[in-house]
Amino acid sequence: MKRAPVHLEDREIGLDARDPDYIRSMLPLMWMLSSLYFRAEVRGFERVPRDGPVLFVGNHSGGNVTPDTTVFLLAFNAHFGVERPLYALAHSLVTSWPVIGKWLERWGALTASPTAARRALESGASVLVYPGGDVEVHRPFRARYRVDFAGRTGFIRLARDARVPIVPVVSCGGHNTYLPLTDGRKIAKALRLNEIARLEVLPISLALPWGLDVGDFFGHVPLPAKIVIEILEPIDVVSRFPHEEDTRRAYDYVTLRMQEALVGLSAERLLAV
Amino acid sequence: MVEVDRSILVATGPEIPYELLADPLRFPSLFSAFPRVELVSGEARREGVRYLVSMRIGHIDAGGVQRVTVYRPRREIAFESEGGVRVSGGASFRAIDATHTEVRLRLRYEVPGFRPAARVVESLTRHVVARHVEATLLSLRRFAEFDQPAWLQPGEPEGRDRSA
Repeated sequence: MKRAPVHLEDREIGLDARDPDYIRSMLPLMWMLSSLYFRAEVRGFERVPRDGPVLFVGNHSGGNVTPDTTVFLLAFNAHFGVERPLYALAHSLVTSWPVIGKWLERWGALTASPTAARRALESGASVLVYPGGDVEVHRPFRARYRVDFAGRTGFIRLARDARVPIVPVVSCGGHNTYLPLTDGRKIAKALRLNEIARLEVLPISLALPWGLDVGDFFGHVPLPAKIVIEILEPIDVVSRFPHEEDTRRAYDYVTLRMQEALVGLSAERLLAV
Repeated sequence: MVEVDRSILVATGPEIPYELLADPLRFPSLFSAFPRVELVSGEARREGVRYLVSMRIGHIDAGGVQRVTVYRPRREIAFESEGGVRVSGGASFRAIDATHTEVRLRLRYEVPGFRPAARVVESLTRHVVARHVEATLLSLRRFAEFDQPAWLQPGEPEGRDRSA
């Protein structure tokens, strides 16, 4: 697929940081390691429109390591080839890490913002977004089979404005790779982390190698739980929920579809691992 | 004995979720937990009708002949198994207001055989079965509120056989 010319704004956003040659060279090893460690299984690529940009909407799990994102990016590039660009929106704390942030940008990570997502879609690329963000990725272990987008509806407007379909990506097992005891919302609020670092939570978890891990700021070693990802049928927001007043209903529909699929996937596993 | 009891609030009157659950022959096209349902004997939507129901529990296909014991339109449906694993349960529909209905699904089952071993099986399958019930309720809500099947027309006469 031919890429659109890169504008100055795109360089600032980071669109040109994605490195297809690098992804191509790393893909076999990374996909093999990921498949072995997480026994990764991704279903439903045949439901993804064959060409054109789409907005992948995922449920986010596994703390700051987010193994389900890794699995999906690898599987997408393996299935469609690195020539079909895919960008994943990530929290600014992740993309600002000194070395890892740059490395993730080579794989297609963008600092999350409506402008970045819109420009990526306009360039013909697809975008992977996790509306639940920090709130969902650090939800307590007991809520591991719950989709929690925290009422954030920006992805609906993004899809409608860009006139692209939403393709839900439901991941099951990512939250079995560590043990978050609490999301620490009250602590985060008391410390005003939202104003300081755009964080609504301060998770406290049991994680390797730290033991008790507060904040998960330095990541952790994920446990080797099985990760299954199912891609659902596309949702045409433009035709089905065309008006601004339909936004809440569209949000309810997308989250209901994803919750239904997530519980269904969880029912396939007798044990958590 | 394992008991699973789950409910969900559906933003419709009781007639729509009732219609979705009234005919088990429709289940395979609606609910992933039911890959196959066949009419064994009796008249659809009548007490005493018997179905051969396959259920997917994890990666295991289970099931058997189920007999409908209660059919109260827009109120309650109940069934019990004939032979095999003892299973019983049902659905109830309670109107909360003019536009909301609480749908409750109940399932009870008992694994036969040597009790200590049966209890291990029951404790392992309890959560899986509960998630199947939850997934079925979520599907029910989606079909009732967003993706109503073409055949679903509120107010169709009771007793009509929809198996054709």
